[in-house]
Amino acid sequence: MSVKGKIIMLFTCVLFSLSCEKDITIDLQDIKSKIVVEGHIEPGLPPYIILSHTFPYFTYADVETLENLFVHNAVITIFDGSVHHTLQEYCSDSLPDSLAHFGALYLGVDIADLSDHNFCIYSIKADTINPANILVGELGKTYNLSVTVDGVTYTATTTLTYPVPLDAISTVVHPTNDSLFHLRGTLSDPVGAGGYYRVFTQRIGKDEYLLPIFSSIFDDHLIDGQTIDVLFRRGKRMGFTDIYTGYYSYGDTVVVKFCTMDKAHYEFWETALVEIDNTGNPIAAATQIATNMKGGALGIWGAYGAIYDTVIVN
Amino acid sequence: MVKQLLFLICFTLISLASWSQTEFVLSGTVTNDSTKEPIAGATVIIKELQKAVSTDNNGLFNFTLPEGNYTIVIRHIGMSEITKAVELNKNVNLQLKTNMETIVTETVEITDSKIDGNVEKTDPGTLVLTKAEVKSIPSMLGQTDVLAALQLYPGVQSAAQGISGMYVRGGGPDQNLILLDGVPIYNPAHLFGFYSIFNTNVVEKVTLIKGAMPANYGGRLSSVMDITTNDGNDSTIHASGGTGLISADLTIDGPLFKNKATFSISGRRTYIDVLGKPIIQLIDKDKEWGYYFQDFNGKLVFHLSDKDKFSYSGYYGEDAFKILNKPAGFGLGISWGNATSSLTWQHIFSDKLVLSTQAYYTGYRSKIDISQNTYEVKLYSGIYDWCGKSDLKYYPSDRHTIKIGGSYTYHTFTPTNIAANTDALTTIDLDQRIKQYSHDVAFYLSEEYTMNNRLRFRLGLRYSYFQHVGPFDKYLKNEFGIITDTIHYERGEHVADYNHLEPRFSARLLLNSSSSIKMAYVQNYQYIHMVSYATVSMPTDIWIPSSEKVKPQVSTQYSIGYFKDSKNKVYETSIEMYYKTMANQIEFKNGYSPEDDLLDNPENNFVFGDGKSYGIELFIKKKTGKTTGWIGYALTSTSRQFPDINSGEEYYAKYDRRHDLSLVAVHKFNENWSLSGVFVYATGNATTMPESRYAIGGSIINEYGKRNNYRLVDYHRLDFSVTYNPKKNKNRNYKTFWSFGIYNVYNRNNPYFIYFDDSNYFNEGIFDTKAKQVSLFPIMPAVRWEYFF
Repeated sequence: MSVKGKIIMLFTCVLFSLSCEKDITIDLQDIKSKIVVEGHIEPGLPPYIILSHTFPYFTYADVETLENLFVHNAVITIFDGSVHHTLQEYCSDSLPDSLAHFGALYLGVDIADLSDHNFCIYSIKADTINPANILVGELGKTYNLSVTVDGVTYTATTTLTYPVPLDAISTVVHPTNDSLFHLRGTLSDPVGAGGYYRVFTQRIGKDEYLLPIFSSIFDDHLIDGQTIDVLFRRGKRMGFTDIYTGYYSYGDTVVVKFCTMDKAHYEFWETALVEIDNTGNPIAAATQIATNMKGGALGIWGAYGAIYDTVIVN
Repeated sequence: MVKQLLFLICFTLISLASWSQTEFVLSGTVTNDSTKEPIAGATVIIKELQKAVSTDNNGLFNFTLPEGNYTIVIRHIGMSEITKAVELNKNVNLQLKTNMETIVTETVEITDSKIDGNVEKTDPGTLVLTKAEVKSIPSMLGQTDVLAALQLYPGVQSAAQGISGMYVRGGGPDQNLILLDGVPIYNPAHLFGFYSIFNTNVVEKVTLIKGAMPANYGGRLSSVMDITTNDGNDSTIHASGGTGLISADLTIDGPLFKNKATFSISGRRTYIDVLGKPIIQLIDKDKEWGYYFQDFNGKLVFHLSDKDKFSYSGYYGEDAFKILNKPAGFGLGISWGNATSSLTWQHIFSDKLVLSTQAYYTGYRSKIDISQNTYEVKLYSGIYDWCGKSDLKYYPSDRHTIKIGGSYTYHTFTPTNIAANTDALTTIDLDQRIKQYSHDVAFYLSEEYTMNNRLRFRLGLRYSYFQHVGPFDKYLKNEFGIITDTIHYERGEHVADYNHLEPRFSARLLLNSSSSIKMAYVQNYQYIHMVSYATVSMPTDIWIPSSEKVKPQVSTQYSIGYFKDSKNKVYETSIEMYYKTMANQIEFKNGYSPEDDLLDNPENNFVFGDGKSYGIELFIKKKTGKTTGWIGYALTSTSRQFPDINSGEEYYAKYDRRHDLSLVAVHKFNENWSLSGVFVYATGNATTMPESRYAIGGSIINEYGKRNNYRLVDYHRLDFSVTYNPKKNKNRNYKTFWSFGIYNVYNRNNPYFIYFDDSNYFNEGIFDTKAKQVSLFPIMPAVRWEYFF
């Protein structure tokens, strides 16, 4: 830096009291790892559970770190009101194609590269004798989850709420670039309880799987019983740069997954997304992430009342 | 409570009955002979009886004594001592005039009223700070500050660097009643809390009550900071001002009509924005950065007669900050400010009876404006009061001082209003406003009774009534949090109300002429509340009223202290202990964001809990000699317990501070040069840390540990300043004064906050988080030049 530059910097620092910043080391207390549950079920589809554990905050973490978080040999059952269904653990070497996108999303890798990574997930066992016994989500049903790890049992309950179809999906063009668009969903919110929503989209041929949009969650406490427009801004995958984050391009074919959910499920994602939004904000208050898991585990066992639409952006 | 009221009435009546002895009244007024202004807080001593009282704000004092010959001594720091012999065989009224001791006192000299009052006065936990003391302390960038000086006393602390809100005995920054000429100030901060709004040049006296709040004060739990400004010189026009590194100020005062009316006007403005603009442009022409604060004080005083004084006092101040990054399309603007306006009439019925009546307006508002290309969000907040109050002081004898009064305030609150629009969609109506209104009424009775030479009591009772009224829309929710119904209240319609009796008691037992024990019990109610969204006190903190869901805050404080003067009052020392409980404290609920207030009642986003604070405060002060100064130390613990926070477990308040030490020294080499130094040490603030992480739904989420379970590193800092007070040049009609200082001499990086940076690899799916500590003020020079005409 030139002398002039140094003088300017010094003068600026003194005159404007610009902050000084330095790296510090924080000795965290002796923290025990906790079990983390990510489990969902939706209409007509079998449930899945990704069982992992937490890792220390200041640990260097990459995809390899995540691969080593899975909890194996857990006993997981789901009670649908009449039958206890026991789930089976599938790992990369035996992973059905129908579950591959969960691994890609979790690890932040392409599906094609998943075979190079270790990923494990629990889902239903194939019942070749009586396929009718296979558990899939049914609207209005309540599902009780039980997860036992090393003799400790964690439980949760979720209800598969009825979906609310969108009245219409239209586009909103970027003010200065007419090849970029947001989507706009028109929603007629039913009067009364149950108005907890989450939105995912997938660009066919561009995204390998559904991704939550930005600000993907909202409820109807302001709009109960009203018809409103909701802006869909495209989300991005963890670990991928994306210069047009938030926008869909002209000609994109977009699958929109519009979900309802129960209150506990909503509160988990509401608090989790606030915390994600606050990442890096030095003055934001710490957010404790809600969970519906009982017994000391973190995460969510939640049902999505999902309904799918496909639109072409033009 | 009814028993307490009856007890107070009976006590007052019984004690009044003791006046019937044959005695004479010795009363008088102490005034500054130069300015003709009355001197408040001067100590008046009857030497033969070792009795002492302080003059009130009108310079009045009053004794009732047996017939005899007495020597009366008047002392006030910075003023010449007066000694006068009095033969008391009838009622005597004295007009006593005193002069400044040195030229410095003309502009700055005042001092701690504990001088002479440390042992003698009734209330523990009370101090009076003066302009001279404030100006003798090294300051950041040469800008002397009243609040920064107060924080050097035990039991008073800041949250972080700068003042950043004042925390008194474990109470929050909203729990301090800050009065400027009797008018409440809701945010006393300039420059995000690093300076107060109080221009030192117009401050006459600051009284801080952190323990035994007398019944004439109310509405806050923790402390009273009562600031009075100069009336203005009655003889000649004076001008004074100064220029420092970041701001300049000018004060002019003098007679408006000789012996009838005075005026005082003062203005102050920073020039950071003016000087900084070309530098910012030089560094990056695509960015704009600007900040300024400015404030104005004005006062008119009319002496309509010997018995009537009418005054107008006003304040206006604002801060404005903006950042504009043109390539990124990003803009941020934050502005806030206070405005006050008051009319006061004082009528002296007699030496024994003084009436003061005041009507005022005070308002505070803040605004944040964030824009990103075509997306724009605005947040508004504010509180606005209209108030009338009246106080009657009655001095039936030197054994009694009775105060009685009442007040009425109409509050208008604007908690967070949000307005936003984005692209082609208007998501929120820009004109939307959510306001709340309330009536706030209080009456009080206070009696200070000197039972004998050793024992003195102050008993007080305050009745407070608070009513939340319409227009108001109350949203009713079901178990899912869905609004199921809205109840509309018309203008003035009753929504919720509260009323309480607040007993106050303090006592002083004089052990001998140089030591005493004081104790106090106070109960306070607070009906208005400030809630902070951020982890640090910000101008965006919102004020809200008590309502159906938000119960009034209540505190009970017990305190006891031992006070001693030694070496012929060269040294004064005290040790005080307190225990304080606080109920109905407020925090935002977990996961709150400001847009949650939209079309909702703010109280639906709060959680409520209790607080507790206790501690011991030590104070040693050397008052006279070439070297003066003090040591203040507080050992305290402050905690909170909320059912909905930290799993219901008790946790340390964010401003809990185990150790708090201040050392202040001033050495006067000669009439021209003096050196002063300050060292402060404080335990680091309590903070919450993320302890672990987990992956879920394609994101990495932080898991926090228990609330405030970690500490920032300790805070300590050393400052020096040298003042040069040259002899007045006889050929000039003005005098100058220089101050040179170094703030943070050993360049300690004290933490303002810490944050976690994992931005390096975030977009590559790698988390390698670094903890970063942000410190605001490195070693900094300070220069200030002052002048007086």
